[in-house]
Amino acid sequence: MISAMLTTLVERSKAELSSYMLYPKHMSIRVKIIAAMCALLVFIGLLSFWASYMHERKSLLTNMQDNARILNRALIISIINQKIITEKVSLQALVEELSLTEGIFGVWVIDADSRITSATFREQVGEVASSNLILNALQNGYYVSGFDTKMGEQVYSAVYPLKNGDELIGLLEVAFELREYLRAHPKNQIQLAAQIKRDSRIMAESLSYSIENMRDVNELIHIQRLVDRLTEESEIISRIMIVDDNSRIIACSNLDKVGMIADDKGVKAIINGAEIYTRLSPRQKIYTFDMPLKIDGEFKGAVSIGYDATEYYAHLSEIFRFGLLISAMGILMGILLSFQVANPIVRPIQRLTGDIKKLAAGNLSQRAVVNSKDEVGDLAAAFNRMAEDLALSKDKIDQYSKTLEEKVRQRTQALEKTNQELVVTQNELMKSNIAKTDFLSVASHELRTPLTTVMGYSELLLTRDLTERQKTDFLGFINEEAIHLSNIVDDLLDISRIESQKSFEFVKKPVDLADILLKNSEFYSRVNTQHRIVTDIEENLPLVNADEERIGQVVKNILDNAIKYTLDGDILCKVFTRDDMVWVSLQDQGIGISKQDLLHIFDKFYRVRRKKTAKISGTGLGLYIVKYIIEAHDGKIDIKSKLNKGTTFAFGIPRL
Amino acid sequence: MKKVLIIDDEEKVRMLIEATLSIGEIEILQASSGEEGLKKAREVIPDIILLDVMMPGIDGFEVCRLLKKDPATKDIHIVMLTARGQREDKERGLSAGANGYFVKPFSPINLMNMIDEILNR
Repeated sequence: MISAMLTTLVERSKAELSSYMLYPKHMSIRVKIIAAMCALLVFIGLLSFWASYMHERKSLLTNMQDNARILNRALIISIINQKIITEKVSLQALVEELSLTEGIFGVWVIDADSRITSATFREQVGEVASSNLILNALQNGYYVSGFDTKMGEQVYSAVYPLKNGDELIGLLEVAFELREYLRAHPKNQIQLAAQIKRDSRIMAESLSYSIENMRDVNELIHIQRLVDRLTEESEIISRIMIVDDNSRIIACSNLDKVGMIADDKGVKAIINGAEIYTRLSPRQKIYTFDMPLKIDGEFKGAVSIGYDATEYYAHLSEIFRFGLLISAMGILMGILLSFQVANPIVRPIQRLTGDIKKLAAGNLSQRAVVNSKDEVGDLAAAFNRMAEDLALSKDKIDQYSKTLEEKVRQRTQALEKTNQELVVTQNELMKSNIAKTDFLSVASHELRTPLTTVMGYSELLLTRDLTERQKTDFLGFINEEAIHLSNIVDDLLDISRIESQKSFEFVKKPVDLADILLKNSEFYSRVNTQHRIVTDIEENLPLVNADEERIGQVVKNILDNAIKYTLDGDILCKVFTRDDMVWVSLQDQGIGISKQDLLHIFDKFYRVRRKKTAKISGTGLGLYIVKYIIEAHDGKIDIKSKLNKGTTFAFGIPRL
Repeated sequence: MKKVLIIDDEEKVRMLIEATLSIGEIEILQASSGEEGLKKAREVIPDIILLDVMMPGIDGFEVCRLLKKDPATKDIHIVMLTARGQREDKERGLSAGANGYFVKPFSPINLMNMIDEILNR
């Protein structure tokens, strides 16, 4: 019981402690703190990483987007320029325009094969120029000039080589009308020639310069070439695609796609009116900007510029690695910090837990060390108070237990004793009950038999004519049976007095037991002729203090039994002194009493049951009364018997 | 002449019954114990046996049982005559084969009437 109470108290204290210190169910406090710190630091690291990533991303995208816008603008300007120049400075147009200049007869552009590609006179285009000046210029690659005749007109021709770098790609021939020239400049021929030569050279150089510029512009503004060059020259542009307003690709860094219909989402979006569309292709690592191509506010198509995002991804990767490093450092720092934070909390709790376990194991003198004034210190102090209470309670319980055990032992002993007494009493009651039943049966027989005689004979006396002899005999029978009935009633009354604890009064006085014996033996000698009663009385017997009548009753009962149970033979009665007592003994030669019966002959209602005793009347009360009377005189009873030999019954009363 | 056998260990009771029945023409026989009663019953084959229960030696129940078991004596009308008045005693007597039961103390006139009735049946 005590261990059960202790276990309950400890369990309760554990429950209380757990409410104070978040007693771990699956995870220790240390681990929880470490986890929390790590989670916090990793969270901060990841947050900064995420912010950095977002910032970098936005910055890169903004840069690329700005770049794309500028590029788009440049493309548009280039395309516009190309358009203007194409319209205005087409070589033929230029030639024709130059032809209108005053003093100029005609202008010819000749390729490296002497074939006229542009001419003031359009019909000459395609013809082969064959003048000496041309041939000379082509052959030497120099500027040559001289007088010539063109279509019957005197002219001064200046032939200027057209070069791409050092390569001669053609010739420009400008012919001046000499006639007009001479009219405008009325000088001598030499001077004139020098003038013409100078002017024509200037003109030719200027024209060739213009033509060369025009050619460059032509090349540059060729959209495909522009696209190619942009793609080649830019380190960050990986793709450019230009589509018309029908989504047909008119220029693309991938030439195979030119002429095809673009089905990109971005192009579709732009065709559908979007101002800009951006998309990132992680697999190809390309960031694509799609924008409209508008010339003079008119929608002409779309431009798609793909930027190489390798660097972008590399940058992100670097940020990511940095983020991982930050997280790892966060975890490491979290663990280190957690130990620093957790140890001051966990160690006192661990010590306290150890103390509690020792207490729970039965060491009630276990106390916790209180070395702080914080919550754990309060907890340790509370634990100590609880341990004190527990120790006190246990002492009380032990004390109580000992007292209780002693009480239980005493009660158990008392109960066992009572139980034994009850068993004895029960056995006695059962015997008594059996004896009573027997008594009723016997009493019924014993009462009915004399009553039968009394009633039967008295009825005959009343109803029959009887002889005098018969009448005398019948009345004698009635008288005998009435006396017998009276004795039975006396015995029953004595028993009733003894049983009900009523006064069974003794009137004691100094008496001589020999007198009492002789009085009774004489009476029996008169009424009983079957047996001889012999007396042997010691001389000078001392007196005893006794109730004469009751002692007489004792002698009568014993003598009565001796006579009843002795078929024939003497009955020897003695009176003598022994051990300061006066003894009366009556010895018969009757049927005797068995050892088993000897144990019970003083029991109330007990009768010896043998065939030989069946006929013998009696109530089983005589010896019970005898014993009671002798004991009331502080006397003793002694009985010796042998079956079929006889019984000696003696009682002694203290002498005076 | 009808014969009635009285088996009872009490002499006063035997004498009372004899005196009661002496006015009729009945031959009265007496036995003072069960053994003697059995012997006389087998010898005489009386018409009626008045049988006491509580007797030394063989008791009345046993005498009744033995007589009813014996073909020679089984037809004898046996009346148990006893001071035992309890119901279980009556049942025990009847189960032993007794034809009637008469409880002590009894009226001699009633006994006489019962004997007359049995003999004249």
